[in-house]
Amino acid sequence: MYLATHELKANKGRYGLVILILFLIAYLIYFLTGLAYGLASDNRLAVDQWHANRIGISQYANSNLAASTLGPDKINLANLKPTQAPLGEMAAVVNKVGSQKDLNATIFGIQFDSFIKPKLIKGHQVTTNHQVVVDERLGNGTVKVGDQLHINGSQASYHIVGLTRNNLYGTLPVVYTTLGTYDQLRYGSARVKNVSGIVYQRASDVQQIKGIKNLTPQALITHIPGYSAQNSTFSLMIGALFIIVLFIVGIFMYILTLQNISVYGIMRAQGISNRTLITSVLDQSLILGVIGIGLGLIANQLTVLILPAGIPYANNLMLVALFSIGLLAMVVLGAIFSVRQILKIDPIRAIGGTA
Amino acid sequence: MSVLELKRAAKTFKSGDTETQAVQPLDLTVDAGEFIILTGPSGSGKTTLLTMMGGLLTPTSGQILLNGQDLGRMKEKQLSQVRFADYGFILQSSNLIPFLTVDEQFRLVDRLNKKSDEAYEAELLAAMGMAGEKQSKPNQLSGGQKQRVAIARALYNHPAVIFADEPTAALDSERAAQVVQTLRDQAKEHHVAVIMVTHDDDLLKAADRIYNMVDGKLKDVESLGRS
Repeated sequence: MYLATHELKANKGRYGLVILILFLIAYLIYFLTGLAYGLASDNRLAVDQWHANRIGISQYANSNLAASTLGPDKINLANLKPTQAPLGEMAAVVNKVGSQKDLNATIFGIQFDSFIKPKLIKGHQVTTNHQVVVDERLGNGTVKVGDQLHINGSQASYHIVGLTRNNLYGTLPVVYTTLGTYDQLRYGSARVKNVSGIVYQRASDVQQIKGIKNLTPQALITHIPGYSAQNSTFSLMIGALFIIVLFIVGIFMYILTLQNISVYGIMRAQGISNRTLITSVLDQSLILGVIGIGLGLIANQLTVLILPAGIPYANNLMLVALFSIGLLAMVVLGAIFSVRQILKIDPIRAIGGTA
Repeated sequence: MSVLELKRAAKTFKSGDTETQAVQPLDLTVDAGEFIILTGPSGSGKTTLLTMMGGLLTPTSGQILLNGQDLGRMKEKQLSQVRFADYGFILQSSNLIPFLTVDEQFRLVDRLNKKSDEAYEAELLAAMGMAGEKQSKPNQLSGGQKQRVAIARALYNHPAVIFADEPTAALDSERAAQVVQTLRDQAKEHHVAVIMVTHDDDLLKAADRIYNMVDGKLKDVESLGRS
């Protein structure tokens, strides 16, 4: 560490450049990670709140909840246990009464005595048709208990009786209502008794019904249209940045080692061991990595403070820790390119002799 | 008492089918505190001989014994330890580490030795007239100052032998004479043997023994009639 720190201090310009590049890449990685995690979370928050074991949907829906319809011949609502919750799902556009502004939302039709009823932060649960509980993020937080909504251009208005938090599905705020209202909105009549799926709380509640495919919550989320594609895109970008870090640090450390070959050669001639020199290079890379990555993380967290509310960014400490360790590993791995160069140093050449 | 002994030590370089005998088999004994100068034309094998004695090059035949230990039987790690603990090197150009101050050059040795002797460092630097330059970096020193620090650094580790390969090549004659005289005085005071390669005839008077090397053969200067 002694050699490493003194060399870094003596060559602030050169090593500052490496730190700058590491900082920029680390910043980008943390930002992309936060966006990827935020976007993934916004797809699944509502499903995660159920703490369900399985979700049964039509086997013809290609595992896509939005494409699933189960009629009364499949699900008899009257015979369900409290741990078996029917669910109607549809995409919708809502407007606050008196406002022309269209707000995208996901409608969940549920039974409000079932285990998938939303946790409220304000108001009360839905008790009759034409009442809704909405996620607080609907309209970027502009809706409140007591407001009324039109749904999909309906003449009828729906009263907001409660607000919930972190209930998003497919990145859209969820509007919870009764199954009757859901069927009215989707099929034109509350007398229709269709649902999209049935949510099972426990494995022991799962029923094998012909025409119904039982999915894990994870499988259901993975099949949300666009979910896998966006996650793969982010993963690819982040993975590519890790490889770029490896090469950038590798090339920089290699060049800096080449520039120091004569110094290292003299040190070798003086009996300073390869181990000391290699440790010095690895220590240098570690110090550069910690500073560059640390600054990237700090800048990232400062950026988060000024991000507009609509950007789906979320921190995940586990991912941040994992990627920080991963980045540091890449930095040290990059420096290992230079180790071979050090091992090849000929001290005789360094002191002006010929071998 | 001899610290370094060469017994029929020779070095041959091979390049394809061509063999070049850089150092012919030679015998040499170096005593503690002795100041030996090697002269000779370029390409005569002086640096090869110096690097062999310095444990950087293995002799093709013969033996090089440091305090009775055969360097030829040592592995690279042991040789590295010998170079660090028993040898000091003063090279043509400065062999100071460019990013360390004068003081830090000594601290590095301390760290590797896991012990410190700042009083001895101060004594050596004072003897070299460099006491006021402890915080200077090598690029802030003149050529002569760098070589005086290099001598102090070489002596700091209490070596048995110091190898100096044209240490005054970059200095003017007056400064060269001062540096060599200082090296000689310190070597005598600390009983360190010095083997110095030089082309500068003006420096020969500092030597206890002078050897001339021609075509890989070592000849005592007196045998050449240059007493």
